[in-house]
Amino acid sequence: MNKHTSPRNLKQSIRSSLKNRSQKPLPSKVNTGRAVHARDLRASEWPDFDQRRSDITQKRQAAIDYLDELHARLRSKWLENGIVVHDALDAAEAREIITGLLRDRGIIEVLKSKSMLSEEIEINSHLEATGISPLETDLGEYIVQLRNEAPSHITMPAMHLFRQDVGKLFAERLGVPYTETPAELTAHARKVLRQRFLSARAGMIGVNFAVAETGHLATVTNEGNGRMVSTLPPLVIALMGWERVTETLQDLGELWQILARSATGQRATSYLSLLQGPAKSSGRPNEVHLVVVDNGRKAIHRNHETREVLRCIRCGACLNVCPVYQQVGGHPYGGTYPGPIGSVLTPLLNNPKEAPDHPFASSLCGACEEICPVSIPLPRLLLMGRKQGVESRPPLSPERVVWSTFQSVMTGRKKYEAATRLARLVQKTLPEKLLPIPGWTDHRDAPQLAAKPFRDWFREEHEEGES
Amino acid sequence: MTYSPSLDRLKSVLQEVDTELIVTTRQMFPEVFHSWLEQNGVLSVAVGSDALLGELDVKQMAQDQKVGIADLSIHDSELHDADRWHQILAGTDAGITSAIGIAEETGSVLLIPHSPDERAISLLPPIHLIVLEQSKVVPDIATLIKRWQDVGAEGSNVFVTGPSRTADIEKELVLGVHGPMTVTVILLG
Repeated sequence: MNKHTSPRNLKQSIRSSLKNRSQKPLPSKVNTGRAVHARDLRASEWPDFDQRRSDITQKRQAAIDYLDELHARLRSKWLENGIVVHDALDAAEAREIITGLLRDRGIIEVLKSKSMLSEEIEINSHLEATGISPLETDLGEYIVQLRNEAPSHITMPAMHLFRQDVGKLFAERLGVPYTETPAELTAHARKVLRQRFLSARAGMIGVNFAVAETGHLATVTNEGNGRMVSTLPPLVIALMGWERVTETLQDLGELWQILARSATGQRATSYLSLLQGPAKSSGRPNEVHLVVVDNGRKAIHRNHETREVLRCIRCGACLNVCPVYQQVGGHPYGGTYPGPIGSVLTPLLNNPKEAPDHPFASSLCGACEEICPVSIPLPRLLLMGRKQGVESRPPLSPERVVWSTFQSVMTGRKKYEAATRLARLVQKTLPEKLLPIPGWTDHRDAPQLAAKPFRDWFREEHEEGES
Repeated sequence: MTYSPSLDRLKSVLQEVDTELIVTTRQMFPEVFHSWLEQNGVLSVAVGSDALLGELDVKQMAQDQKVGIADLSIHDSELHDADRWHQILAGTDAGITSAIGIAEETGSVLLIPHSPDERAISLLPPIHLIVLEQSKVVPDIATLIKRWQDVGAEGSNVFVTGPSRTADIEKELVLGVHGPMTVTVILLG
């Protein structure tokens, strides 16, 4: 199963998604609208929202700036608490570690709570290839897994679907009578997954934040599936991005609240679970393994221009307000992270060549930066991504030739005058339609050059005045 | 520092997260507890080993009402089997715990870190009852964390804000996806 589409060819996949959309109104538009409304309601509850936001931004940045020190503290805490730590340089290493842990114990099914990092390292298809079944237990993730799809949103995986889609899916795949009532559909999922929780041999959780002062691994959930898979099975595998570190429990409390408000418009999520380590005597879990994944993060960290993106707490608010995301949803982006944050992260985590069009999938309206709870300058980073994308193109690509010619013409007076003279000549003799520029002249008229250049006109006028 | 909580505010915040708040006194607790058991049709309970619940003798109270007790000690020693224990908890009507405190601003409850054996008491039964003293009401999450830090902030723990919920299908709220469907807070004045 290869759920992820390649992040390449963004334009093409956006075009086909716009062409194929049959549903009106769009689920992505409707569902993001609801999320934005809920978020605004909660944001307005804090009269000092801007102050809190800038405090959190600073704290998050401080944590990013001192990651090495915080990791050193964490590692001694984790050792003390009995957590086994594995460092993974890239996705392949992370997959190898996880598969090894399960295979060595003869485990054939692992229950997952929601983790975007697990999507990033594409663990599911890898596990399946080695005969281990990954079972998603977050309702939205469970739905998209049954549909053999990737999640279309960071916090609302089934954001691209209407209730009827889920009704049909459950009737088909779970053999339950068709219903489109979310409560009934949820009850079906609860029943199916409950038995699996109780017999699970291994659970996998995503870590929202690791707390340096205590070593706790914090997971934010609403459904309680994160608690299930970290409480019931003998083996817990925790997956964590290298940058997901916070210094104190107090900082965690702040981050948790702004995450909840930004993501779903809740004051707090149903659960914030803090896993300290394995059971010391009786009880579960018996083993806790933590996989800390780099996969390009340290390189982002080394570059001061890009470092700020590591503040991201994956709330998804920038997706909800993005006019591009609202129209096309998450799937056309390919890769793991859609929307503005994805357009910045995807080329950075892979490389610019892998996702050359992503930074262009934006109108640079700035709504993403405005709503970001940790003030990531997304428009600036998108511009930077565009620059890198262009620079990574071959030196003789048509666009580069055009622009370097333009630059040379515009910086020399003689060349400029010669060029406009030539253009005037060409414009007169050739009809415009013979000079199409793709994506430009389809919807715009080429500007017409004046019959007489300003310079000539000015010279004449000036001379007349003198005489 | 003394803090005088606004119980009205707490009540409405809890209502927003679909949690019932019952304010009573220690003297009245047995009666309140009795009618709570009846109203919720609770026929079996699992009781955490939190000090307050011991003081109140909640287990005995439940037994007096002919309510079954899911007790780890019964399945302990050589018979101890975590899977079996979890099955029993999943078949129990209500889990009862106390808490370090409750935040007025959000309605979040910070549980007392339970032993690994007891962590599922607040998770697997469909109803979760939280009993705590009124002095444990604090203004916000920051104060709640401070209270936990004052006693060492040790162990695995969880903040609970209302029942398990999802809005994954069209953003429509549904309670009780995987965890408890009903959460009740009893405050003892």
